[in-house]
Amino acid sequence: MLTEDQARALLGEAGDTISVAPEPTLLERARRARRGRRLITLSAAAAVATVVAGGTAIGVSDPSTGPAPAAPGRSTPAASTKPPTSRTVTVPALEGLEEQVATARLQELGLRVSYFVGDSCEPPGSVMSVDPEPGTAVTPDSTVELVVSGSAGPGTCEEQRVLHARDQMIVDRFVAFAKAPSATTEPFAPRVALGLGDSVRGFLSERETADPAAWELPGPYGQWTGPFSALEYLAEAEDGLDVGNNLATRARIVCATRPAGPPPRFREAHLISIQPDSGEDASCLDWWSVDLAVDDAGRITGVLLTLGDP
Amino acid sequence: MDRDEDFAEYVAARRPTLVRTAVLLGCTIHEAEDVTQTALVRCYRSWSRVRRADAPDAYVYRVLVNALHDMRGRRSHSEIPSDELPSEMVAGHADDVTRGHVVRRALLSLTEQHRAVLVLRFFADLGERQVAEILRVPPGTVKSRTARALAALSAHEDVADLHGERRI
Repeated sequence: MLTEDQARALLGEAGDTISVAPEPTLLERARRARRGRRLITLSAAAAVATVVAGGTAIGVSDPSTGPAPAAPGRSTPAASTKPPTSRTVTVPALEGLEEQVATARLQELGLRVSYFVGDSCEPPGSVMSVDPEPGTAVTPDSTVELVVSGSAGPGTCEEQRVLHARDQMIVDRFVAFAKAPSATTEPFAPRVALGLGDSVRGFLSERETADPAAWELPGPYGQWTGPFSALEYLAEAEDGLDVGNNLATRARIVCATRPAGPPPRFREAHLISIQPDSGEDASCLDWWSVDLAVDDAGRITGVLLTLGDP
Repeated sequence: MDRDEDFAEYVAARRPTLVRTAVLLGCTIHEAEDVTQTALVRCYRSWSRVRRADAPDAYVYRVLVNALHDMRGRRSHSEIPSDELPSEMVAGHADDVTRGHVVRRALLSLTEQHRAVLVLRFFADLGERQVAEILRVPPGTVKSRTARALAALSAHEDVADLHGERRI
């Protein structure tokens, strides 16, 4: 039987038979993909924000009655001002339709379809928004993105509520603190628990919170060596933040590999979750969550960092 | 060195091996290039995290294998026909080319699980624990699966011929 060394030599020979052409443009492609992902994220965030904040679906949806009104907060692509010509087709109003129905309508017009699954309380598989917006004139071979509602999970919609103004203020101040830690008037409790994944790894006194080094927790955590600092993740977030109440006890749809839940100290607290607004990422590579445990006086009693997994 | 320079340097150094790994895992060369690009683009998004990983290479391989599974899920994946000489083989010493092709053909005759463990352990040169994390199985499973895969590869007629171990 082959030894491991022999196997290593044989597979090396097999690999040597494979000629690989250089790919000098990969960095540029990666940059473009990153820029593209930001645009998609904005579309989905707008759709989700409308559902959560307004409690109503984005205006619907009969193509025969013309385009639906634009969702609030969404930019209008430059192409939408272009008058339709014989070489263009008009993106129909599709919000509220089932994904398959919307897909068929787009394909009938010769359009390509891409999908983005967003987290919402709408029935799974229904179209929440369309990009470019309905009414936009596009060439027949264009790609239209459907933002489709995913399954938010049992009880999710009941838990999901508009972020309280006080919580929003706590988040804003904490994010600012993360970017420039200082001994200011941050509303920390006398003792702040620092959590990583499913366990509490340490505590900070109110005085220690001003020291960025004190926030660094040693590893290992999963396959990571560390150190880990919730402040660092917040400070480095480039694609915006997605904030909500009590999101920490359930997996976010875009990252189904999230562990079962936070440690008990956090599970029992009022939690504000801050996550990257990174949109769909099947690998979960980008996903993390910083969950703030807040007491009745609005003081932060704990900060929990959870990382996704590829 | 900034993020882009570091990423570009990593790609220049490791992309060929990643593509070859994907081919040995059963992709055509074009699929391998696509899936490697997908994996590297995903890694670029969080490059600082990849670099902070305990073993950055293992992390990238994990993303590569996940991207490969995603691709296979989207397409009904078909592997390189084992009786077809791959067109991407380099011109070189005829005997070397033949040996390499024999091994590739033998790999393709193995189960996907056996092939994966052999390629990741002995071509990508990852440790048992790293392979276990990539394949999401316990380390003990990697050990036993490696032993069975080595036995299966050894028993392949052409590989046995290569090593003069064939028993008549």
